[in-house]
Amino acid sequence: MGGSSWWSEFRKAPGAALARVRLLTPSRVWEGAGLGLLAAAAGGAVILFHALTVLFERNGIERLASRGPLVFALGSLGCVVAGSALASWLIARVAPSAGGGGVLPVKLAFWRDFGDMGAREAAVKLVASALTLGGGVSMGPEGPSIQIGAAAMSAAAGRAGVAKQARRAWCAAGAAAGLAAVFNAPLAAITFVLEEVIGDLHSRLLGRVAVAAIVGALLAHAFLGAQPAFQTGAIGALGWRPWILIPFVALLAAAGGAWFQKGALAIRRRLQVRLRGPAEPYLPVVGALLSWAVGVAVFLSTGHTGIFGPGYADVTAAIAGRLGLLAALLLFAGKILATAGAVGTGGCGGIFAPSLFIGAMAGSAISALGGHFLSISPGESSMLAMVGMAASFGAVVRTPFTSILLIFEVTNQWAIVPALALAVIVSQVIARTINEHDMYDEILRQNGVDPHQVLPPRHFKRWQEIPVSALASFKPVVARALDPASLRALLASSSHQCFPALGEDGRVRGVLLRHEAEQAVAAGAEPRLFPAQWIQAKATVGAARQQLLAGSLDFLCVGDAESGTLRGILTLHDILRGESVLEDDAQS
Amino acid sequence: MPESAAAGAGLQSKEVQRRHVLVKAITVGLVTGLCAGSFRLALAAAERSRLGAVSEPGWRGLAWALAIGAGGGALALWLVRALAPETAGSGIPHLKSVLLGDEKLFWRRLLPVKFFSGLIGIGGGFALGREGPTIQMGGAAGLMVAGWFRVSHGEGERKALITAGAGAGLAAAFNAPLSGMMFVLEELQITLTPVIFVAAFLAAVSADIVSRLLAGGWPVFAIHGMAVPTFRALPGALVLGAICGLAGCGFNRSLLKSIDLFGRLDRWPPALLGAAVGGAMGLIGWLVPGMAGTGTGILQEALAGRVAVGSMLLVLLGRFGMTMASYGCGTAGGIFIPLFVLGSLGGLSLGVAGHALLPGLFPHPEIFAIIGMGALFTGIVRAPLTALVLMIELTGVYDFMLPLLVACFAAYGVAEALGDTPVYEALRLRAAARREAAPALAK
Repeated sequence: MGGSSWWSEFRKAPGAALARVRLLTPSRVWEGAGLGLLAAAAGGAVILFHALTVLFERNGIERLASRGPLVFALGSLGCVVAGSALASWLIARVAPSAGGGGVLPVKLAFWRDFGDMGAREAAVKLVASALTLGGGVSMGPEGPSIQIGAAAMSAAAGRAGVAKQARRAWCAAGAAAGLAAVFNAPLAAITFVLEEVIGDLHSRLLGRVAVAAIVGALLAHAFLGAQPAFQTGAIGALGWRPWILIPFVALLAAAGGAWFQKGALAIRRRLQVRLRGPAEPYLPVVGALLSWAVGVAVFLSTGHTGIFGPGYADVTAAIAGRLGLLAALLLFAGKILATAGAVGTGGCGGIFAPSLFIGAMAGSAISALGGHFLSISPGESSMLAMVGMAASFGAVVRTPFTSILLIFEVTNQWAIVPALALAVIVSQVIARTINEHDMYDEILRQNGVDPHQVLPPRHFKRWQEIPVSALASFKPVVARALDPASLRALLASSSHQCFPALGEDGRVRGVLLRHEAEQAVAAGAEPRLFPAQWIQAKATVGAARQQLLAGSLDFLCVGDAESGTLRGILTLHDILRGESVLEDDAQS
Repeated sequence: MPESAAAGAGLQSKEVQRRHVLVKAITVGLVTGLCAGSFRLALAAAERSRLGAVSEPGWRGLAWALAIGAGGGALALWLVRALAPETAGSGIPHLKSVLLGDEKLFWRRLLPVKFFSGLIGIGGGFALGREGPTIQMGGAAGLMVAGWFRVSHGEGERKALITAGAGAGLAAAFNAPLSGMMFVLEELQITLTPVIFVAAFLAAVSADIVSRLLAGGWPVFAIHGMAVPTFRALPGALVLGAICGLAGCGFNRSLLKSIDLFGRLDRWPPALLGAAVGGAMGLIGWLVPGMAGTGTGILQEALAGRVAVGSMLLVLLGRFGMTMASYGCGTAGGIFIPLFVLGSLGGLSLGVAGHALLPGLFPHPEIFAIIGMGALFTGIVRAPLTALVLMIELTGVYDFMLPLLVACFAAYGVAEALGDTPVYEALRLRAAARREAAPALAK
C-alpha cells in the first residue's frame, strides 16, 4: 500500500460516514419525538397519581393525626376501609388486571403479551392505588407508578398505531419513565427495568428506556422539585465505628425484609386455598383492617403515623436521627406486620416503600442501640439508616445493583456507596438463606405459574405454546353488509386483505377477500364468501400454525365456531410479526 | 451477537454455583486492589519526579525530558514486545478475547510486564492512563487466584474470577466500585448470572477498599465549588453529546489508523521506536509542562475552568496526537484518562464558546467539561451506563445526572447511527483478524 491510499481513504471517510447517517431520516425523527411525547404522557400520569395520593393523605391521615386519639382511631378506620373498599370495587368492576403490586403485571405483560397493556389498566391503577395509599394502607407508590407508566405508554403507543406484537420497548420505557418520575431517580429506573423486568443489562431496548427515564426525571424535576426524595444534611467524614455496625444493620434490615416477604406470601397462600368466591375481590379490605389496627397501635404508643401509607415522613425522620430506639423498633415490627397483611391480601400498592421503611427503621434502631457503646456522629447515624434501606430493599427485590443506585439517587450522598455495597452483599446472603426466591418469582409460583415458563419465551418450543390470544387482534375490521355501497366504503377505509363478514345477527357468515369484494363492486353483485376457519382464543400458536397450513386462507377467526361469535382475528402477519420479535430478543 | 452468547458459555454450569466463589472473589479483589493501589502510587511518584526533573532551568530540563522520555519509551516498548506482546495497549480487548476463549492468559508474565512497562512508559511521558493496565492486571490476578485455589477443572469458574478481577481493576483504579461492576456487565458482556454478579461485586468492593487504604479515598476529580447545572444546561448537553458521538467515531477510526501506521514500522527495533515516540513526548512535555503523561494536571485545570481560551484547542489537538502516537506504537496503557482529558477540554471549549454567544444557555462553561468526559467516553466505548456511574463516582457529585444522561445517550445514539464499532470491540476484532492471517505469530 502506498502512502496516498490511506490519505485518500481518510479523505473519503467523512463522506462515507455521512452517507451512513440514518439519524435524521423522517421515521427516526418521528419515532424519537413520539417516544419523548409518550414518555411525557406516562410520566405525567404518574405525577398525577402522586398528586392525587398526596391530596388524599393530606386531607385524611395527616389531618386526623393532630386531633385526639379517639378521633384518629375512628377517622383513620374510615379512611383506610373506605379507600381500600373503593379501590377493590373499582378493580373488580373495571380492570381486574390493575390489582396487586405493579412490577409483576408489567413483567408478565412484557414477556407474555409482547408488552401489550391497556389504557383502562393505567387509569384504574392510578385511581385505585391513590385511594389505597392515600387512605392509609401500608404500601408504596413505586410499583403502581411502574405499572401506570408502562400501561399508559403501551396503550398510547397502540393508539398511535404500534402493532400489538411490537410494544415491548414501549412497555419497558413506560415503566422506566414511571419509576424515574416518582422517585426522581433516572439511573436506578433504567437499571431496575433492565435488571428486573427485562433481565438483561445489555438489552437493545436500552436507548429507548433511557430516553423515557430522562423524560420522567425531567417531569419530576419540574413538578416535584430537583431535590432528592429523602433529604439529609451532608454526611461528612465517616470514621471506622459505623463500619462495625453496618453488618448488624444489614442483618436486621435484610431479615426484616425477608420476614415481610415470608409473612406476605404465607398469608397469600392460606387465603388462596380458603377464600374463593364473590368476596374474593374485597380481600384487600381485610388486609387494610390489619394495617389500620397495627397503625393505630403504633401511633398511640409512639406518636408516629409511619405505618399508614408509604410513611416517608418517618423514613426522613429516621435518616435525620430523630427516632428513639423504642419508636424505631415498634415501627420496624409494625411495618412488617401491616405490610405483610396488605400485600398478602392482594392490596393495590407496591413493596418498594415498605422495604425502604423497614430498612430505615432497622438502621435507626441499631444506631440508637450502638450509640450507647460507641460514639456515632449524626452523619454516621443517618448513613446507617440508608444502609438499612439498601439492605432491606435488596433482600426483597433481589436487584443488588439497583438497590445501591436507588439509595444513592434518593439521598445524593456519595460517601456512603461503599457502605451500601457491603450491606447489599450481606443482605443478599441473608435473603437467600431465609427465602429461596425473590418476591415476584414466589408470587408467580403461588399462582401456579413456573417463572421459567412465562418469562423469556426465547425458545421456539415455548413460543409455540403461547396462547393465540397473545397475538390475535381483538378489534378486527369486519364487513357488516355486503351491498356494493358499503363494500366500497369498507375497501376505501381499510387496506386489509381479509375481512370476516357478519350477518344481521352478528354471527360470522364467512370470510370476504379483498379482490372478491373489488370484483363484486365492479360487477355490482354480491361477493363470494369463503368458509371461515375457527380457532379458540386459548389454543396455542402451534395449533394455529397447523390450521393455517391446512387451510387455504392466511386468516383465522378467533372465537366459538359453533355459535359463530367472533372475538377477534389471527392472521399470518400476526404470527410472523411475533416471530420476528422473538428473533430480536434472541439476538439482543 | 453470537459472541456474547459464547462469552457466557460455561458460566451457568453447576460448578460455578458453589458458594466457595465468595472467598475466591474477595481474594481476587484484595490482590487486584494491592496491584492497583501500588501501581497508582508508583505512577504518581514517577510523574512527580519527572515533572520535577523537567522543570529544572535551561538545557538541563530539556536533557532530562529527552532522556526520560526516550529511555522510558525504549524500555517500556521493549518490555512489551520482547516479553509479553499481549500487554500492548489497554488490555481490555485481550481480556475480551480470553473470555471468548480465543486467546490465552499467562498471568506470570503479564502481571510484571504490564506493571513495569506501564509504569515506565506512562511515568516516562506516554499520554495514556492507568486504568487499562489495572483492568488487565486485575483479570490476570483473577486467573492467578484461581490457580491458588486449585480451580483446575471448570472453565466457568476461572472465567468468573477473571471477570471479577477486571471489574475490580477498574474499581480500584478510580475509587469506583459501582463502575467496576457496571463495566463488567456492560462491556465484557457476560451473561448475568447471580454468581458472576456476586463475584464481581465482592471483588470490586474489596479491591476498592484496599486501594482506598493505599492511595486515598476521595473522589478522583475534585470539583469543589463547581456550579450546579440547571435545566438550562440541557440543550447544551444535547449538542455536546451529539458532537461527542461524532468525535468518538473519529477517535476510534484514528486509533485503528494509527495502529496500522505504526504497524508499517515493524522492521524498526522496538527500543528505537519507543525511544523516538517517547523522546517526542518528552520534548512536548518540556515545551508545555503537564502535557505529557496521564494528563490529570490538565484535567484538573479544565475542571476548574482555568485553561486559557487561546490555548484550549491547541492543547486538545496536541493531546489527541500524543494519545494516538502513544497507543499506536503499542506500549502498555489505557485510554480512559486520555479520553477524559480530551472530553473535558472539548466540553470546556464548547462551554466557553457557548458562554460567549449564548450566555443564557451556557452560564457556567466548566460544567460542560464534566459532561464532555462522560459523553466522549460513551461515544468511544459505547457503554453509557458505565459512563454515567463512572462520572458520578469520579466526581462524587450527583447533580450532573440529568445533563449527563442527556449527553451520554445523545452520544450513544449518534455513534450507533453512524454504524461505528465500539473501540474495544474494534480492537479485538482487529487482533482476531491478524491472528487468523498469521497463526504462527499468535504463539
